[in-house]
Parts: sequence; C-alpha cells; structure tokens
Amino acid sequence: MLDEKEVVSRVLRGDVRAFESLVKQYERLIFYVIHRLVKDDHAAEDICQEVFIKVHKSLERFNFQSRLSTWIARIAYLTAINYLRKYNREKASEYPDDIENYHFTADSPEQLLTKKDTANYVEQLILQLPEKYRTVLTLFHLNEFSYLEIEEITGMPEGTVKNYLFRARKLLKEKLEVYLKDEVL
Amino acid sequence: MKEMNDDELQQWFEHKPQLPENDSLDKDAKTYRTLFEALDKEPEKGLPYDFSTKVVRRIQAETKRSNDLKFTLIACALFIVAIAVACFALSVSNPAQESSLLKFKWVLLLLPIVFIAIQYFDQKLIREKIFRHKHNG
Repeated sequence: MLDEKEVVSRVLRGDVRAFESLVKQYERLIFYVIHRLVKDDHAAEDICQEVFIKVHKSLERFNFQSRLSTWIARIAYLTAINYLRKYNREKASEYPDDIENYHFTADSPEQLLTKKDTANYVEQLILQLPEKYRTVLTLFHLNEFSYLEIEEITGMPEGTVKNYLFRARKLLKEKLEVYLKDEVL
Repeated sequence: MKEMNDDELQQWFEHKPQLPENDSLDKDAKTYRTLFEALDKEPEKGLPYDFSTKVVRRIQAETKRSNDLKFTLIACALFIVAIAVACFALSVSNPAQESSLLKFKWVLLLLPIVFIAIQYFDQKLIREKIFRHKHNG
C-alpha cells in the first residue's frame, strides 16, 4: 500500500522514481475513468498522460483534505470533460432528459458477438449511456468510490449521484434481462 | 428472500460484501446479481506496461525545457543589463561616442528579443511536437 504523505513529499523533493510509483498505483483508476468517458482508445493514453502531468504540476497544492485517489480522479474527470467539450464528441441534446425513455442502438454484428460474454455485453451498453451515467457507474463500481467521494470528484450532489446510479443500473438490468432470456432460449 | 423492488434490490446488492448464490434469488435479483458482477469486472483494455516510464520521461523533458527557457531569459536579461551598463559607462567616460552607440540601440535591443523568440518557438512548439510523436508513436 502506498504511503500517500511519504510519496507526495518525495515527489515534491524532485524524486522521479516516487512519481513513477504514484503513476503505477493510480494508472488503472485514471484509465477506467478516461476510457469510459472518452470512448477513444487512441486518445485515452494521451489524456491519461495529460492527467499525470497535471497531477505532477499541481501536487504541491494537494492539502490531504481528501484521499489522493479522489483528488487525482477529479483531475481525470475534469480533463476528460474538457476533452469532450473541446472536440464536441457528445452533445447534451443527444440524450433525452428522461432516461427511462433511453434507447440503446440496435445490435450490430460486432455487438452480437460480444453478447457471448455478459461482461463485454454490459460494457458495450455502458458505453452507449450518457456521460454522467457512465461516470457514476465507473467511479462507484470500478474505482469503488463512495457517494460522497463521487460528489467531490464530479461536483454533482450526492442525491443526483445516487439517482443516476440507480437509473443507469435499472436500465442496464432491463436490457440484460432480455439478453439473458435470449441466451436461455 | 422477500420480494423487493428495483431500488431495494440495488441497495441490497450494494451492501452485500459477498454476492449470494443464485438458488436463493428470484428472477430480478438474479439479473441484478449478474449485472453487479459485470459492473465490478475490470475492463480487458488497459494502458501499455511502460506507461509510467513514458509519463516520467515526458515530465523530465518538460522540466528540462522549462529550465532551458529560464536560462535563456536570464542570459538575455544579463545581456540587456550589460549593454545598458556599457552605454552608461561610455556616456560618462566619452560623451562624444555615445551618439554613435545610440544609433544601434534598436539592433542591440532586438537581438535578445529575437533570440528569446527563437528559443521559445523551438522549445514550446517544435521539440514538444517531436517528443510527443516519438513517445506516443
């Protein structure tokens, strides 16, 4: 387990090996957030690098008020959002206000192949969800952040985080139900 | 297990450290169980094994570039100060020569500015592009 205070003070003293160990510790966390939000494998690695460069530049401002992982995840989240805004990959209008009426795209042959594996199928469905839903699902399930930490990372109120998480899972469950029924038949 | 709605089922699965066996669950609960397992599963995709090395290399290169730029700025500032001191010394010791030196004042001032601009564009734009291309392939 990484001793946050020790690593941060070593990095601030200019120890690059300490920073390398910090990168190794959090690279998966960052990649999950970036990969799920940006949905572009080629851009994901570059954005992950940008995140760690920002972490390195602003580490002296980290005041240990939260876990280091929460602070880094916030930088990753904001970097991904800025990237999406800059390249206009997703427009808010593409998604309905009422997520209950959300429709996933028809299954492509590629998606039909991935259906063989439930986890891959769910992953494909998650990537079709609106950005906020993908964010809360990823932070809660893959990064294991609490509701309060997700609030700190995204700036969304705790109630909204819970609401998005519940609605996203209900939507995925309904789609998965059909898939599991098809699989049995 | 009593019948639970979606909200209750989700809360139940969130707080269960160990997911229960399928035999004891109804249809909705079984689907949620499968969903929670899939959501908790880490994606197969990931970053390359040498990602941390690449990041460190990039940070070292950026630090070097920033130090080089600082050195250039300091060198130019010293050059301007030296010219100013020379002009002042000349005006005190030999006022007749002062006007001939003042004729070249813009050239002398422009020299360090052009030098800084070249260094800036070389480091910020060209080398950065080459470095990114080299390391992100």
